[in-house]
Amino acid sequence: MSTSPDSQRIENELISQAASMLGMKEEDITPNTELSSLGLDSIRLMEILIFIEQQYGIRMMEAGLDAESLKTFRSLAARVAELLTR
Amino acid sequence: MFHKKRYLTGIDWTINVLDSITRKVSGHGNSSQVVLCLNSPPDIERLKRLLMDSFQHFPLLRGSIKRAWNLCPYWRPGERGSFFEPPLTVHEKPESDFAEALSLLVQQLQKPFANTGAHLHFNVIKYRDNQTLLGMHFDHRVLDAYGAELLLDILGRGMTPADLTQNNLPDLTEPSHLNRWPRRFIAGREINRLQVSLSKPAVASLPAPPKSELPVSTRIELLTFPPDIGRAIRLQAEKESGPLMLIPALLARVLQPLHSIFSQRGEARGNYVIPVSINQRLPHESWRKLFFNHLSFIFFCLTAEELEGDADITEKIRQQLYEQMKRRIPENIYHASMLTRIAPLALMRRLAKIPLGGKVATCYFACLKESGLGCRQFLGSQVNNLFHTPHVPIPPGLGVFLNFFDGKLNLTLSHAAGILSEDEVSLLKNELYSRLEKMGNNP
Repeated sequence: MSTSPDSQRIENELISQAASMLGMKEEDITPNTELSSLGLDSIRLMEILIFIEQQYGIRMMEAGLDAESLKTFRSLAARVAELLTR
Repeated sequence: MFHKKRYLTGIDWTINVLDSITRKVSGHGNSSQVVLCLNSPPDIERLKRLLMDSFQHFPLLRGSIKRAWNLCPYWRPGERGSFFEPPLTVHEKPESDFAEALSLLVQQLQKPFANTGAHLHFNVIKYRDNQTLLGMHFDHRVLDAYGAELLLDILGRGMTPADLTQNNLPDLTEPSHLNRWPRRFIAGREINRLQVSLSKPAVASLPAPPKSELPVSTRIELLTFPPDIGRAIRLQAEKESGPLMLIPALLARVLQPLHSIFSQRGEARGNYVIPVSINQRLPHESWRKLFFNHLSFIFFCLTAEELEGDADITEKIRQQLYEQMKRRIPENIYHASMLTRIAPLALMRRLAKIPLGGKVATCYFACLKESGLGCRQFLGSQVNNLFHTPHVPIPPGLGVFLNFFDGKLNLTLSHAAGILSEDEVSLLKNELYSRLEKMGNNP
């Protein structure tokens, strides 16, 4: 049985994806960077959610989106990790 | 230095085709206007000088479209250095109120841009108590809505685009993109499939005004919600649509009143197809992408039955947004539109009518969450509000545009004269207002 990726690895992957999507350097985004501070709109957010589905097989749209989970990369990664362990 | 030709992207070419269609069908081009509500008139002489400088440095603002030897269309900048009056008109209307001043601005919108002249025109209307409306009428072939706000921001700060730092100077050249053909054909197939799925059943749209009534003027209805209600609407929209997302809940509020109009006419059948324009600029490249069009589209589609019933419209729109992003529709539109550039305009006008049974859409929709205008002082005058008054190409001749500015929410209903009756306009305005206000009052 495969073990679920830990939260920190997910965090790094999400940051890396967001940086490449937004044309930014990875080092300019920290785990505590707020998603809203990056100027993300509906469209860019969808791109992150699609990445999560393709990478981890989780459809966040169905799993439930709440403001707390989508606040920072750390909280989003923690939510993905939690869903993976279910 | 800025005299180079700029090859058009497929999106720019599509906007040009829309301009051509709009000129034929309604007598004016594909243009729009950004309006600033100011507490006093700005420094007019300084604005004139800034405009002269901008036109001097960016002759593309007086350019026109040509074709290269390989048929790729390009934007040829106008002649630099020739005598040129700043495109600005001042209207003194001390007896007029806001509604009359806005009506005068909308009248200015009806004047088409000459193909070889300036593609911008400013109107400053001084009305009651020295309050001022400043309208920047712009040709969509050189600026999109967000780019127009950015340009106003630069001028408002007393700069011209040439004053931007070296890293932020606008990109004025673009390669011809005569490459990556397999990618573009795959994108074309995807877009064709999307169009087929949207066209069955037929697209619901209101009949266009008769051709004998040219030119068709554009009418504008504006609803403005104060900051407390605007912020509450935004919060509620995010609560319903999901964090950072506004479009699903707001579009759902717009579709329901629209459906009432179709129902009253006995036309409530088929698909309501709503193209939504989306800004494709990345946050750090706004200035570089100041000129031309950096947008793409998502198409939402709901049936009359879905709007009639108890279906969760917001959720349906949200799912469609996700699925279309997953199918990379905005990116595919960008690539597929590249394939159309070699076709002559006359052919493109005909081809544009083939998909979706010639109806194109039910209504256009856009929502600008953040404003490109960062300054709150425009050449010495305080900016109290900003909204857009766009022409909507016919068909469908109907569009709803929302923008947030300092917490305020503005809704502009743009409709070609003859599309809606007076009663229908009132009904639509009242319904839109009450639904959004209720959303803002939702605890």
